[in-house]
Amino acid sequence: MNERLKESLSALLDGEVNELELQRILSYENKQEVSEFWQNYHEVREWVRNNDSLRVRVNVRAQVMRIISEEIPPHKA
Amino acid sequence: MNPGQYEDCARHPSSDQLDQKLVSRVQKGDRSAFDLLIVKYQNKVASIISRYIEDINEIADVTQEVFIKAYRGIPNFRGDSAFYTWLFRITLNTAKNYVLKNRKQAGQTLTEDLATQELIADSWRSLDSPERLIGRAELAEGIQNALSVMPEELSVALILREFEGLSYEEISKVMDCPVGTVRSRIFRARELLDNTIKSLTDSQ
Repeated sequence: MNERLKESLSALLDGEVNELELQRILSYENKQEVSEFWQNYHEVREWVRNNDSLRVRVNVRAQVMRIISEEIPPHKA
Repeated sequence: MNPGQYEDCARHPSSDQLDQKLVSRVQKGDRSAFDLLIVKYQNKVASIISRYIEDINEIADVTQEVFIKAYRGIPNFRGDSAFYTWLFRITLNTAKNYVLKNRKQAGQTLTEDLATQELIADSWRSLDSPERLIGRAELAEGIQNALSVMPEELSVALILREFEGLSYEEISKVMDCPVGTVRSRIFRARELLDNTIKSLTDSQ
C-alpha cells in the first residue's frame, strides 16, 4: 500500500476524509492490507489514549491566582 | 480507563459554551471565572508542554506562564475560535520560546524520520530481549519513549487529536500550519508508533 493511501486511512480514523477519498480506500484491491493497516491505526489510538503516563498533572491554580490578583483586571476594549 | 474516554472532551458544545461564558466574565473583571478555567485546562496545557519539556517543575513553571499570558491577553480574545484553541496556541508558543530561550535546544529538534527511527530503536533497546515477554507496561513505556523522541510537531499534533479531540482544522490553527500538514504529521506519528508496537511485540 502506498503512503498516500495509508495517510488516507489515518485521516479516515479521524473522520477527516471526503467521499472521493473514502471511495479510493474502499476500492483498493488488496482488502486484507487495508484491513491490517486500519487495525494497526486503531491499536495505536488505543495505546496512546489509554497511556496514563502521557498525561501530566500539575496544580498551578494558587500561584497563578496570586500573581493575577496583584494586577488590574483586564477589560475587553 | 475506557477506550475513547477522552475523545472530544474539550469539544463538547456545552463545554465550549461554558468556556465562552467564563471568558466573558473574566473580560468584565471577574477573576474567579479565570480560576475555573485554570482548573479545567491546567493538566491539558501541562500535557502539551510535556512534549517539549521533561522536567515536571519546569512544566509547572511554563504552565503557570501560559495562564498568566492568557489572563493578560484575554481582553483581546474575540471568540472567533474556541477558547481552548486560543489557549493551546499560547501553550505551544510559550513552550517553544521556553526551550529556545532557556535550553537552546532548537538545533536538537529532529526533522528526519530516519534519525527518529534510530532514536526510538535506541530508546527501547533495553527492552528488546528475545527471551523476554513484553508486557503491557513495557509496551506503554515503549510508546511513551517513542513519543518523546519523535519530532515535537508530530507528537503534539497526535496528542491534540487523541487527547483533546481537536479536528484537523483546529489543530492547524493551534500549530499555525496548513490542514494538510496536520494530516501528514498525525499519519507519520501513527506510523512511528505502529512500528514501535510491531518491534516490541515481534520480540516476544
